[in-house]
Amino acid sequence: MSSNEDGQAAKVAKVAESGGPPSSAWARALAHDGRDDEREGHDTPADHLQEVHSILWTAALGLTSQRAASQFDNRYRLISPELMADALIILWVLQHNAIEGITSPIRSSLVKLGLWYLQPYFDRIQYYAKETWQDRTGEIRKAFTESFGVDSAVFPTDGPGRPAVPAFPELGIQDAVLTTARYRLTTRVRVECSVLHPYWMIREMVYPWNWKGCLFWDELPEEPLEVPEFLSHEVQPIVVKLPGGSWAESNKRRDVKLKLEVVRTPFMTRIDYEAAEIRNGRHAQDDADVPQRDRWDKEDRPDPKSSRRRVEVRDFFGFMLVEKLPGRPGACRVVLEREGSFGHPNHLYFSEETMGYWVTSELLTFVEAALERAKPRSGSSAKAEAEVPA
Amino acid sequence: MTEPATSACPADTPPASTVAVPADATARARARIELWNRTFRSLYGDPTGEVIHEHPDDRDAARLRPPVTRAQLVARPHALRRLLAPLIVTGKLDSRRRDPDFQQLVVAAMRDYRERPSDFREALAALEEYGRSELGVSPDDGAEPEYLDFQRLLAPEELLRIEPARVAQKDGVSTVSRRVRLRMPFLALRNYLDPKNWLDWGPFFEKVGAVEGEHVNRPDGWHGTFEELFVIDWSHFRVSSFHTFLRVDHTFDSDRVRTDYSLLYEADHQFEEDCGFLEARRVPGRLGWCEYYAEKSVRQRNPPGSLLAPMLAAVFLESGLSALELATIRHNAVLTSSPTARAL
Repeated sequence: MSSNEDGQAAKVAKVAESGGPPSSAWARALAHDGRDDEREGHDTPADHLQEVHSILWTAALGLTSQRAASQFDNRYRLISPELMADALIILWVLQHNAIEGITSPIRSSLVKLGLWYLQPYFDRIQYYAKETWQDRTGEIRKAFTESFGVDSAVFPTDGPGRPAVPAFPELGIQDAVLTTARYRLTTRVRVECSVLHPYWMIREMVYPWNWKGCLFWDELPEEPLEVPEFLSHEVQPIVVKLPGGSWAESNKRRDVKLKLEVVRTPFMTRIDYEAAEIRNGRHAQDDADVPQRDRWDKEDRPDPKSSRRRVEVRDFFGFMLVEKLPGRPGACRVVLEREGSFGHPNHLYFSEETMGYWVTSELLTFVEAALERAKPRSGSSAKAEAEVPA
Repeated sequence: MTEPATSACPADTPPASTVAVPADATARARARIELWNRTFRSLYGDPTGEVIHEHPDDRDAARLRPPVTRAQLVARPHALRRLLAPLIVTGKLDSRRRDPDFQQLVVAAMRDYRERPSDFREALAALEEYGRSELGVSPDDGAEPEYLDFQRLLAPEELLRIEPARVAQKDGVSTVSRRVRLRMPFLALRNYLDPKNWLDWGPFFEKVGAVEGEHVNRPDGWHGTFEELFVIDWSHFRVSSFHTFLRVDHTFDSDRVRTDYSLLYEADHQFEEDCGFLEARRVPGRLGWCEYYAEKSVRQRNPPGSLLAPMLAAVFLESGLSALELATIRHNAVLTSSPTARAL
């Protein structure tokens, strides 16, 4: 480990000793170097998670989106590139240094995904950082190299040599292809990949009660005692957490009604679903009534248009498929497809990127969670596989 | 064959296996020699260097060519006449049959012979006359029909080739695929695709079996390590043999059965890639019919082997398909009542 990482780990350990909750706010605390934070309110784990969520989303949009993003309504504002780099490197250090009492708030694959998203902008981050805060691009480049086995300086930043979703060997994900299409009212995204793990290990990832690792979903249904081969169900409500801003305000949690059908056969498991936001859900309240702490300028008043109850997750539908890969025993093909739209300009304007980030993060977290669930059984492979359910 | 190398091979000595070895090893060896001889001759000429120039119809086409379907034979009146006429003249085939299949064959056999017959009776008479005068067959002669081809002639269409054979080569990997429809109930066909029954697929396997302790049975199939010994004989010389260990996943449900396999290692490291799958599924709206698809990708380590790889894969698939067709014919209730099927 380099001296930089040693120093970083020491800082993290120092913060841990002070009893602070594990969060990306450490990134801010470490990176700001005493810079005063004038925003009101208190950090909670939910706030930190929302910030990490926003960081990954902003990274998926790219730095060029900073200028195009809506500035007058900052509820779903983008995160600055300096904070992105700092937070990612802190998360990286957290996950690669076993520090007692500290756990990373998100899955490691999401941190790697953030590094991947940011890689084309490392030079620009370095340029910004020299002007303002501490330069961490050396560390972030090193983290990228360790994550993907290739130097970020020589890796293509654009073009066919750079896939939208990289390979994740530790998850067995390879040959991932992300396609997007934007229509007049909706956006459709599809991510398709091979997963080099047996079908029985990852097929459970399609069920909604196993979606816990993804930052978009919350308040998921409980797992039933017995799951039939054909399941038709309606889940209400289920929460979709939209990325943006640093605070987990209640109106960022959108209650959604999810209708789903799951078919499970020895060859494939597929969930088809359609969802719509509940207009008068638990968190539906006038935006003017919610303290908008993500607003930088205190003099700004909420926009009249945003002061009414509006739908921010419009109807969306899609499917998720896990099937055995023909001719590749022990490998699967996973497809996630979703079509839908958003209400807020910052999501709507970047709907392809936002939906792409959504399905990609689902793919990574669901596979990672599925492998974790299967880990105790795969200790002794033959014996464990003998317990494979029909 | 050289000893397996110890470096890349997972085990120095092949693990114990529940290997199925054919009982009729001599007959299989003979059939294998014939199969590969036929293939090599068709592609590269005789081993002595002589190249076949004769038209296949002028030779004993049904034996020299790879197995053909009824539709293909119907399209060759000349071969059809030579096959049918002796059987009718000698009474091995009952000329009083009036079923549509038989009538279609007789009319097809005589459709380009001198004057085209106007109906079945004329065609039958002309065929008998052809057998007596042209071929010199008398009713007292013995005629031994080739059972397999004979069945194909009299069977209703058991196998539909709904897609041409595809052969592709990319980066040294040869991929061959076949897609057909078989008139066979799904439940009967399901067991044929189980790798444990691959000895029935042709004479090129000397032994097959799941490696003991390395396979898991499931309610919907099984998966694990599988070994096979695939041999190629040309005349009485063994050209090569491949002792292959595969990772296999055999899965079925009520609608589909599929066997996926991919190379773990070959004892002599002759293969760099050997993977594929066999799949059969019910055809919607066609009771008693199944669609069968097979795909195989091979890449051999040595360049001459790579040149032969597409041919080997194609012969493997074709021969397997022929065995499957024969199984279909045997299974078919219509044919089991025929004299030929009883003779089998």
